[in-house]
Amino acid sequence: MMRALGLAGLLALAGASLTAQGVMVAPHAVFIDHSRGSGSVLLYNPGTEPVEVSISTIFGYPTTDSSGNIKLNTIENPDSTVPSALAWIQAFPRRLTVAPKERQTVRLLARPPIGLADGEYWLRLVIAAQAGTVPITGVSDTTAIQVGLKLEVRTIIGVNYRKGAVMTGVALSNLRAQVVGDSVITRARLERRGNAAFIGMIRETIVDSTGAVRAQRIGDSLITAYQSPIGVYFTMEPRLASAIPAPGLPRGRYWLRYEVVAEREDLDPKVVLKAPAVRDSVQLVVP
Amino acid sequence: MGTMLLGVPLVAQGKPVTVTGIRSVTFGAVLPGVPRVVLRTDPANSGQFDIKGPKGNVLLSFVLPLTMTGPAGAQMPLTFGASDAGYSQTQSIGSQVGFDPKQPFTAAMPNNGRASVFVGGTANPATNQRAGAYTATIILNVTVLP
Amino acid sequence: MRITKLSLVVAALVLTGTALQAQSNNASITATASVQTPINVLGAQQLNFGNVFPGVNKTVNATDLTNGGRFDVTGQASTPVTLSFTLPATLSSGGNTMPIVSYTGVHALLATQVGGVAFSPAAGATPTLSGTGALFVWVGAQVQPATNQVAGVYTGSVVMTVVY
Repeated sequence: MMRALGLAGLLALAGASLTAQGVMVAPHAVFIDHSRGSGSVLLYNPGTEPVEVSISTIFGYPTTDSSGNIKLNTIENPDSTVPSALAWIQAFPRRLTVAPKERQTVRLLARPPIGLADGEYWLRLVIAAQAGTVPITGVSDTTAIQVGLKLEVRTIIGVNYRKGAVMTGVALSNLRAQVVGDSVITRARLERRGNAAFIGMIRETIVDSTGAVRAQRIGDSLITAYQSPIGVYFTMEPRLASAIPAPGLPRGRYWLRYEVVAEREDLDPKVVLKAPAVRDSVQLVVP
Repeated sequence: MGTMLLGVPLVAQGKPVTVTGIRSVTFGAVLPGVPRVVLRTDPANSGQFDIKGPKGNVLLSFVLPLTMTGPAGAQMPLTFGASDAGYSQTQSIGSQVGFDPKQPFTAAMPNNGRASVFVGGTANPATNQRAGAYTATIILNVTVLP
Repeated sequence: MRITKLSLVVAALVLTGTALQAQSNNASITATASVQTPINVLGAQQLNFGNVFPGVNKTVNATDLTNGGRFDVTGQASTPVTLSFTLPATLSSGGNTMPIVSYTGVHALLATQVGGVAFSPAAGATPTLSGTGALFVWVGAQVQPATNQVAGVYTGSVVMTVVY
């Protein structure tokens, strides 16, 4: 046994390396118009090794848990009460290998049922990529214990299919804000209007008693308004946390301006449905 | 009589040259931070101009954009390499003489007076390139050399 | 007659001028591109247990920058994402198994793990990408080889799911 242990010691896995692997998925949200009937997703392998990819579909939509964290609410067998496209949108191919520095396209083909009502229908695309196998290195010794863990990544993105007249909007209520440590925590109730998901941004601005905008912080950068992308599919109460730059806000009362707008810089403006912005403000007390 | 003698060659020399834009340079889906190359030999995505004119030499010169313009005026750099343009006397994408689109190029029009010019290029999206559709205009000037 | 001769001369000059003036024409085409914002999820660093000995538990903490398993996520700035994990309870080598337990996780906006937040991989996490659209996720665990652990290469898969 001692000999085995000694040899096992020679089998250090520390030298094993893993080249970063995975695939870039673009776009991160797919919008298919009924008149075209199909869409596509581009996969790009920025690494140096081939990446095996498998594609599947599920039904789900983002919502929030009791703490305001965004989660995906998945339904295995969606019925007619939810606008699911799971039964009639298929992805091709289902399995593929993306060579290094190469790109491949996954096609999404829609075969909607006859008489499908106007509106927006959803599904989620699951892109699973084998992110490389841990190379087991060392002396070839059949008495050694070696441990290797494969890393796999799954990226889930939304697919929204639009037929006919689609409209969206959002109602804002129950806005609250508080300072916790060096962060401003907000929550608000967002309720979708219309027959399509509201895709937009939440913007938060802190204003002091003189009306001056106070800076917030993202990483090392100071910003005048914190903004976070949001997709409201039904109803949600997202919790947002933005950082206050050191040394923090002086004690006192401030106003937090909260704005939900149908704007997204990360999406083609053509796919972002227009909707009126909604705004509210709430007092923010720094003790 | 003088008019007649002058008129015959003048009519021949005066045969108009026409240039027609046939196909756009299509970079398609582009990922931020990942350059996208379209070769002039790409039958689906390279740009194409057709030329009709008199037999003889013509001078080809491009007006090339430095950027493509996208949403809210966002710019994406566009570059053209020394062999990103090609001239074909047979109007065949498989039979081209490459040339630098940034320099004037003298080409010989064939007997049938028809030729094509193909062009490729490279889109260079920044890592934070804004999403959306981008376009630019490529102009080809064709001058009949007297 | 003089007028006729003059007319011919003028006509000849006009026509000659036309012939000598180089003919030119142009046309334009467009260059088009569609920029699509990607999400990129990479397995960046293996969960590395190094030497493993029978009967000796071996732990790699998620805070271990050298040996912890690391996933890198890049996407749109300030976007909230949902992370969930499928974690093996055992590693296998043929018909033999070895328990792997006590998973730990850290997510941070910087690769240095500064400002990182600990989480339980089994429970998942809902971090937000940084102002530059970056997120780093580390995973650690403990392997528990038995005293009579049969030699071999024990493998399993750690799966991270990112909902965007």
